[in-house]
Amino acid sequence: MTRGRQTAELRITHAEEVAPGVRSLILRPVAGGALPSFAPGSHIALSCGGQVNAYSLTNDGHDPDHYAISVRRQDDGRGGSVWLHNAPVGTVVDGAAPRCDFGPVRTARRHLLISAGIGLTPFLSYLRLVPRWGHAMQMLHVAPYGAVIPHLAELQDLAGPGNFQLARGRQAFAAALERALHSQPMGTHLYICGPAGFMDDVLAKAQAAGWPQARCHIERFGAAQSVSGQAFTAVLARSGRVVEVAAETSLLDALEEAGVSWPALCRNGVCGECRMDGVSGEITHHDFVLDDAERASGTCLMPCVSRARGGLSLICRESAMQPGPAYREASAQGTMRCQAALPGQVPPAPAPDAGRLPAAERQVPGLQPGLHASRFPWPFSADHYAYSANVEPAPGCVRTAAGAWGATILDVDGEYERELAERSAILQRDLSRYASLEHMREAGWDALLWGLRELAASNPTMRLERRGEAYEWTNPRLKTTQVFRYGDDSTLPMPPLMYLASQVQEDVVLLDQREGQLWVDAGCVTFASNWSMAFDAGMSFMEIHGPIPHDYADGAIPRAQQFLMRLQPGQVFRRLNWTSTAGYRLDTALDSYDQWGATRTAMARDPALAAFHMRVEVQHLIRLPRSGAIMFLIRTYLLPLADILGVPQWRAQFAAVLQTLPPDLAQYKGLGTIRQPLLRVLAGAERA
Amino acid sequence: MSPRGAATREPMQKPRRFIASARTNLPVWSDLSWDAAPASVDAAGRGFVLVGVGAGTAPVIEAWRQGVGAWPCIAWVETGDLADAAVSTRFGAALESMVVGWRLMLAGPPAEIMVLAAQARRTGLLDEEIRLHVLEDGRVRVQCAHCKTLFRATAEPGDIVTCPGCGQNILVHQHFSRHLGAFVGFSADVEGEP
Repeated sequence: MTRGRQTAELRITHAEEVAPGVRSLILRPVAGGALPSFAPGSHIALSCGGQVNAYSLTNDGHDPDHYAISVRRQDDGRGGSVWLHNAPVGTVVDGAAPRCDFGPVRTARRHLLISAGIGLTPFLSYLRLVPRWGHAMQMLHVAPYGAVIPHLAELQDLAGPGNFQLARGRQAFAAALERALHSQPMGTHLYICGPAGFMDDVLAKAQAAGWPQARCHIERFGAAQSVSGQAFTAVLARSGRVVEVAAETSLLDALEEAGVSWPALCRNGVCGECRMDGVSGEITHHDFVLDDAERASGTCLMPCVSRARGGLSLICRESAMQPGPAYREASAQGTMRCQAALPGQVPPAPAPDAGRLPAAERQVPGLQPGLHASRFPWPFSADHYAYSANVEPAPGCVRTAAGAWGATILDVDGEYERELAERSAILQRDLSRYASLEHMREAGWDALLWGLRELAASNPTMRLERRGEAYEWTNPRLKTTQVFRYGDDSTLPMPPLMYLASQVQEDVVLLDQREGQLWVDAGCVTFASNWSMAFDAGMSFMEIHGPIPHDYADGAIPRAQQFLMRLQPGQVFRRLNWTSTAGYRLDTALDSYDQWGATRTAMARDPALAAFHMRVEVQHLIRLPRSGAIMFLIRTYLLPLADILGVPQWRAQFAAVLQTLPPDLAQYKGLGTIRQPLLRVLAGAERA
Repeated sequence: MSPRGAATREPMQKPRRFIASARTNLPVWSDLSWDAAPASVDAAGRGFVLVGVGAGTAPVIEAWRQGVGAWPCIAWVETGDLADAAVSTRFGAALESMVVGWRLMLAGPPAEIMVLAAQARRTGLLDEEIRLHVLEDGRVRVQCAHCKTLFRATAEPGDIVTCPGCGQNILVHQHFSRHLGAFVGFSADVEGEP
């Protein structure tokens, strides 16, 4: 299967005819072990006899050891369902990682589920939210008189008394639907699944009853996989080579499998890295990079997401372009994890003692020359500045002029104990650094479990063990052991998201996706760079980025949002962001600006700018599997100016970037008044 | 409230430390001010809650009521003390009586109706179910970033006001939260001109 997507071999271990023409299958991993968790409404794409079909997962998506689907036999279909009906127990099928394009809206005060035929399957997983998280759900299913309803007893049981209604025949359904649509309390969302004509009919009735489009959600399997499409043929014009691109494969993946290297970063049509010029053919564009004129030209495309009908001719510099080292290391892992890229090449963590100096003593830069530089994520690779989304797959070790960074997603270093103590002290005096809107409780638990698993996977001494419904977390670095039950807040000393932030050096923000955008609805952020979690909680992604200077934000921020909304479970991406700080100071939140703001003025008065620190955030972006929320991890690193001066390549690059930085961005990054003095210091070190 | 509430705005001229931003999240009222015609009644609505804040909104509410026609409608004008918790309680009760298909329409000064709109969104209303008619009175709500006090002030972004909570001079920042119905403000004194 292709590199861009996680797949697994699954064996049919149980099969049962649950209604005439409906076969339920249990699929377990051939390799054994656990399967990826999934959100309600998720589906799985299965290769069934030459076809790829998508089926709703009907079991509980929390750490499942199997996937359950129910397949209606379609004798007039393309053959996939018939193949699955005939497949004996023991048959092995290829399954892609679950995707969710039909998840419940987390802010809904109530969920109204309407289905017909086999369309009830996604709602089996929806209704499992009722006992676990207390969601209010009402389901209405229509079936012909006398028809056997698959999973009827289970649906009634999960929904609870009075919340599952079965309408026999069109008239009974029309009356029940009318009643349901006119009596839902404000804040209810509507979900429809069934044959296309049925969904259109219910949608039309909802709109006639005044339901806005944004409250109505339908499951259309046809549109579920936008990157795939029809198979086509690519011809490499110079060599005449022919590369077949299968329906489920991207052009980029097909080229790579054929041994053609091509530069690529995000593989989601956002970053623009894989742009191909000089192509000809009937192109269907799915990217967020090209403008209308470029699309109309018909001569360029992004092979990671865009396709062609029939044939496509490429002028492919087959060996001329090689990906850079950062890309190669990251992509060698694909979307799967590699916990320690390049073992032996990553410098060892600094001695524990070195990181434990009180913050006040660290105001003097260069106290421990080289300590910060060796693991510092140096943000520049060129001699000029460009604002971009600059996303790349994570993790992946990147070597710098002074060391390396990026081998793991969560970075536990010599500052671990000191930074977590500082975070705890900040929360003690200002609890508003933690915020979580009511609907983010489940996402908080999802984040905690993901984070502790990741910590345990990348730190040999830390352990997370499951004991039935309970988990035991052991962290020798903090001398702590904690037993908790997933979803039960009373089993933790603090809310789950805050508990995660007590175990990782990263700040954590959780984004909810609804109404076609992202919302910053929870976070535990003690080391913010001049913003306030308390004030920004509840804002949309676009609103939170409002203060970013215009030309840069115009393209990059909407593109970043589009990219994030397409992020699938199991994918992890990262980007870097840089600014400056006076002194070795992690807490530069807007909330405490009245305490630290004066340090900036003091720094600027010193011609040597001795207090200047470069501040780099390594930001990771992760789609959480169960809640569908996006986790945004922000890890802050500070590098004293003296350490920059100590690395000739960094000194030269920083000076070049400063010279080309537009004035409004310089001001945004806190460099407005100190840019010229900084350039003088950098030049002076050069001469010396 | 969209698309009007999220529209772009010309770069600010006045504030001393602000940078031009094509996408500031400032609410945009230019097409919804005193002399503009009130927003029309959404023909897709199947029931309405109409609330005016301040006696001056009575004509707007009456015009809306006419536009609603025969659909169910709850309408009133708040004329008393706006800081009174009873305003929020009355409004909350009206929100609870709404079913899906209804629409909310608010008229009044921005500081007041943005708070009510935020309460409505917390109850589950979507932007496309809310229409606003703003009668500009120069007052805004501000949250002090340092002591978190929420207060009303006669100001606009770039102005300096005194926080009634911590007493600091607070610069009103061009950053608005629809969730809180307030601008953020931060200390204007700690980083004097170098």
